Parts: sequence; C-alpha cells; structure tokens
Amino acid sequence: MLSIRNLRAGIEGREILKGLDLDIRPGEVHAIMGANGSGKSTLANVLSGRDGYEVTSGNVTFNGKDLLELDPEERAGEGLFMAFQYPVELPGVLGSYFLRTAFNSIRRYRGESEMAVRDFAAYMKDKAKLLELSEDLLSRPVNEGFSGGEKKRNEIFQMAVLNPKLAILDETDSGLDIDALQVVANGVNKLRSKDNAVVVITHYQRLLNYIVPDFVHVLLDGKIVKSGGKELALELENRGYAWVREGTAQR
Amino acid sequence: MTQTDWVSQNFLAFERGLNGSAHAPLHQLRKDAFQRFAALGFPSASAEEWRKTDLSAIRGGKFEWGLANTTSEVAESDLRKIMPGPFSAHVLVFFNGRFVPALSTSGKLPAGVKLSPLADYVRGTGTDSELSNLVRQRLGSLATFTDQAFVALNTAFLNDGVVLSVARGVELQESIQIAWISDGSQTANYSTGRCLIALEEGASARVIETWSEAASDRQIFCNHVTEVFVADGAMLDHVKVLPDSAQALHVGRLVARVGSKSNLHTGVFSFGGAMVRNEICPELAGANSNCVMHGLTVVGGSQHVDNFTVLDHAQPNCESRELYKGVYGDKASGVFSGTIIVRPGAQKTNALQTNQSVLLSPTASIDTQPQLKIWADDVKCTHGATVGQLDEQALFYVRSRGVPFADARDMLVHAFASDIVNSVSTPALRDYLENQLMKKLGSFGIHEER
Repeated sequence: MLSIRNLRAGIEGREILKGLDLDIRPGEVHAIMGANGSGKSTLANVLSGRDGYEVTSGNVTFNGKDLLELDPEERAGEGLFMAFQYPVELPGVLGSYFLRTAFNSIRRYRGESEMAVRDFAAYMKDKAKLLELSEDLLSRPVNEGFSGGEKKRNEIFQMAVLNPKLAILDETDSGLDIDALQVVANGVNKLRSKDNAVVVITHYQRLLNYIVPDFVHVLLDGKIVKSGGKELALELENRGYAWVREGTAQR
Repeated sequence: MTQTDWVSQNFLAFERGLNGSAHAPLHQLRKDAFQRFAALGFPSASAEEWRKTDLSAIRGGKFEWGLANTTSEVAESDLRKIMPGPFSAHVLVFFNGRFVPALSTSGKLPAGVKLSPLADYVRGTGTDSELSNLVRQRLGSLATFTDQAFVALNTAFLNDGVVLSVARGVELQESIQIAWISDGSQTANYSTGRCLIALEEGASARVIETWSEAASDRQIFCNHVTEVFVADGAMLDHVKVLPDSAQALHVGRLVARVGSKSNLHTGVFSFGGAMVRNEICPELAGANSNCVMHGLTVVGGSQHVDNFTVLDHAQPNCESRELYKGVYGDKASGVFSGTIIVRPGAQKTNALQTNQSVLLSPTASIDTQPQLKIWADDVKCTHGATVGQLDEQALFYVRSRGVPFADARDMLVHAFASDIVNSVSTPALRDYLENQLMKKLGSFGIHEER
C-alpha cells in the first residue's frame, strides 16, 4: 500500500530524513516511535505534502502512484489521511460544510457522484454515533476555540467520515488526557479493517496501550534503526531511547 | 477647455430645460452648488483625500446628464431583471436618475411612513406639506458642498431621488429598496441621485440602495448623495450594494446626523467598478448612541474601490464599531481611509475600527489609512489593520482533506467575508450577497496562487 524507499528529505537545506525505508500493507497498524528531533514530524509533513520540505532522494509509492508527485488534495483523493499534531482553526467555516465539501471533493476526484446534503447529514450522524462523539462540534466553525482534546477528536471524526485507506496519526496523543486518549483510540480501533492501514507516530508508548500495533519502528536520526512487534514499544518505554542509540552505535 | 467643460455644458442644458420651474426655491441651491463646483473643480490628483484614487476618467470624460430617453435600447421589462432583488415589496426604481413608476412597486406602508420620489418636491409641486417642509428645511443642510466638489456637483443637478420620512415611534419592519439603474448603451452617461431620510424620535427603518447598469458599452458615472437624519431613540439600517461592473464610475456619499440613544448601521458592499468611491460620514450628535459600519469589497480585474469614512463622535458615551473587509484579486486595488474624530466633550467614547484585507495576487493592492483625531481624554479608541495573503496553514489543511486549491481558497475567502454578509438584516439581500460573493470568487483565476 505504502512503500518508502531510501527517503532523504529536509527543510531549509538541512537534511533530516537520511534514508528511510518503510513498507505498509493493508490491514496493518504501524507505530513509528522516536525522540524529539528524530525526524517524526518531517516524515509526517513530507507524506502529507506540506510546502517547504525538500526531498533530495528516494521515493514513496502509494497504491502504485508516486506520492511525492501529488498535490495535497490528490493525496487525500488517493486515500491518504493525516491527523495533524496541530489542527488548524478555520474561523467562519462550519464543520458540517467543511466535511461535506471534503467528502464530495474526494468523490469527484475518484469520478464518483457527490452525496446529497441530506444523505450526507445522515451519514455524518452515523459516524458521530459510532465514535460516540457529540455532533455539536459540526455546527461550530472547524476547530475554532476547540480545546486540545476537541481538536484531536475532530481529526479522528474527519478521518471516520473521509474513510481513508491509510491514516497517519501525527502525535495525536500529545496533550490529551486519559479520557480523550481513549475516545481517540476507540475511534481508530473501530475504523480498523483488513483493507485499510494506520500509522501512529508518537513519542510515548501510552497510546499504544489502546491502539495495539502490529509493528513498531524506532526512528533515530532520520532512519528506522529498529523494528519489531508491539513488545518493542514496551521495551522502549522501560529502557528509553538512549538504549536504541547505544545499540546502534555498537553495530 | 477646462476640466469642468462637460459639467458646464450639461448644467446649461439642464437650466434651459427647466421650463418655468427655474424659479422653484431649490433652483437657487442648484445654482449656488454649480458655482461652488465651478470654483472647486474636480479634486486634483494631489488632493490628500483623493491621493490613491484616479479621477481622470471623470475629469476627462464627455458625459451627458439626464438622458431623455428613459428606455433607450433597453426594454423596460428587462430593467427589473437587471437590478438586484427585489428585496422587498417597496421598490423605487430609477433609470438614469429618474423615477420610473411602471417599474416601481409599493407595498402597504404603516401610517406615519411617507415615501415619495423627490422630483415633485424639488420642483415645488409636491402635494404632501410635511414632505415639502422636510425637503425645504433639510435638503442640503447636512450634505454641504463648501469643500465637497462631488456634493456640489450632485446638488447642481438636483432633480430626482427619494424622500422618506418616518413619524415618531413608527417602526417600519420591511426594507425599502431604492434601485438605481444606468444605461450604458448609447453615450457616456452621467446620472445623479439624491436621498433624504428623516426618522423622528423612536422611529426605525431599513433602506437598501442598489446600483446596476443596463448595457455596458459606454461609461457610466453615478454621483450620489444620501442625507440621513436619525432623531433621538431612532434606528436606521442602510445598506448600499454595487454589483460587479468593469467600467462603472461611482462617487457616493452618505452623511448622517444621529441623535441620542439612537442606532445607525451602515453596510457597503462593492463587487466591482472601474472607480468606486464610497463615503460614509456619520456624526454622533447625541449621547449614548451606537453606530456600526460594515464594508465588504470583493474585486478583481482592474477594478478600484475606495472606501472613505469619517465617523464623528461629538457627544459622550457613544459606541462605534467599524469593520471593513476587502478581497483583491488580479490587478484590483483598494483604498480604505477611515477617520474617527472624538470631540472635546465626547468623553467615554468607545470606538473600534478594523480594516482587514486579503490580497489574492501579487499585482493586487490595498492602501489603508486609519486616522484618529481625539480631543477628549477619557475615551477608548482602537484601530487595527491587517493585510495579507490567505493563511497558508489553513489553505494546506483544507487541501489535505481533499479540497482542490481553488475551492479551498474560495472556502477560506468566503469564511473571511461571511461575518460582513451575515450582518445584513434582510434575508433576501443576504442571500443575494452570498451569491454575488461566490460568483465573484468563481471569477478569480486559479493562477493567482502566489
């Protein structure tokens, strides 16, 4: 589904990703863990197509397409979703309108017909119910004045509505209390299926108690230096990132 | 040849055509105004208040005033389609500055509301003595022309328009629409319009003035003055709408005197024009009043819109909120100059002025000049201006959800403008403005990305 080969990328002439490889297949949940400065957010930004990041070598294919050639909206059309670490406030844009526009834009991109307003409202209601989310978020401007927890929940709600093939959760756990964390994790778990995949990018092991990954990768200095099963996350939590750093140095 | 030649020729022709009514009392006002205009001339390019707005199309034009043929090549039945709306059952339609009864509709007005074309009262043949008195006593008393060339010009050609009077305590719920339509099919067309609005104590009214053009082959120049008296405890809501136009020239001035414990809300929506100047100049002449001034400009091409406001806090304990927003694409240019005056006695004034602009292309521009002139010491006055491109973070966020660039941009511009559109109290007008906004956004090319 997603294949990253020897990805080198950076910002303002500074190389941050230094040859990253990763393969993700449908149905899998991957966790990418790393300390501050290891390249986690650069990876998220490059995959989502944010301006200002420069890819110097390597390639990323997503469902057979060259992801790096695509505009951000085309990536969404292909089925990529990024739950942002810092969701942006959109004053004056109502949540329901925003989501309907996004949903129908993706349908148009795929050559499908748009969903009518009333049908979409019902569809959204079902999703809100599934995630046990309050619908009042939708009648407010997107993220405006939302608490940190509400913003993250809103990201997960958008994900549920847009139903991506690959969802990347960029530090979704940061700034969340335990209740919000459970709501977010529940949402992700309910949306897991054999056809879609999830990448959880995080600093801490905590979220992985709730979203149990199939694979855990440790990102260090712009490369994945260690991969394993879910137990690797626990080991990291106990022994710290220094342990991986030492291990790499010895190699 | 002097720059005012076309004005003189038209004025002489106008006087010749008066056919006996040259002795009407208001004709002396016209003659004084013409003389004053002849002395002032059009504002020069170096005049401080006109520095950023090019008047050469007017100065060097060859306009004809008061085109006799009121229907021209344009069928009368088409005129109702051309004008925005109708937004109300009460619609007064003017074609080339003259009232057209056949196109106008009047719903049932409550007792105490008097609404009439101005022409009869200017000629001195109006039948309602109250309106006669109102016109004689008040017309020109607020919109003075000593130092206002365009008011002088408008007054020199005083001919038709609207007089509205609302009696004490009468609340007129439904809006009154005044639709000004100009014919641009045959010759460069100069038209003047004049409104006199007087609300007595505790009265309220909503007035919508719209402009539009029938055919756009030739230049159109509209010179307009609205004079407003809001007595103590009264409320006026006035909205001005200028639809999209590539070549219209427009200079309009609204002057208002607001009594105590009164409310004035003004809205100015500009979607186009080669050169548009909107002047809104309220004086808060009584204590404890409230004034809200809104403006929205959305222009592209080579359109130019100059919003000029002077808000005069003359009495204490008044509150004013002025919010003007603009969206400029292509090579469009805008000016916002907003002056707030706080007179020595106007303690506890609370005035807030904000001007926010979004430039959608590198060749678009906005010139913002806020000015505070404060002569009282216990006041709260703030002004702020922001100019920028659309928020890149927001644009990226919307695109990352699958929305193509142009749609994402429209969504954000629409959101930026929506609070001004939502401030309009007449639902049908709000819907119209919403449509105009979307239509205008759709006309901006996708190339304006950077």
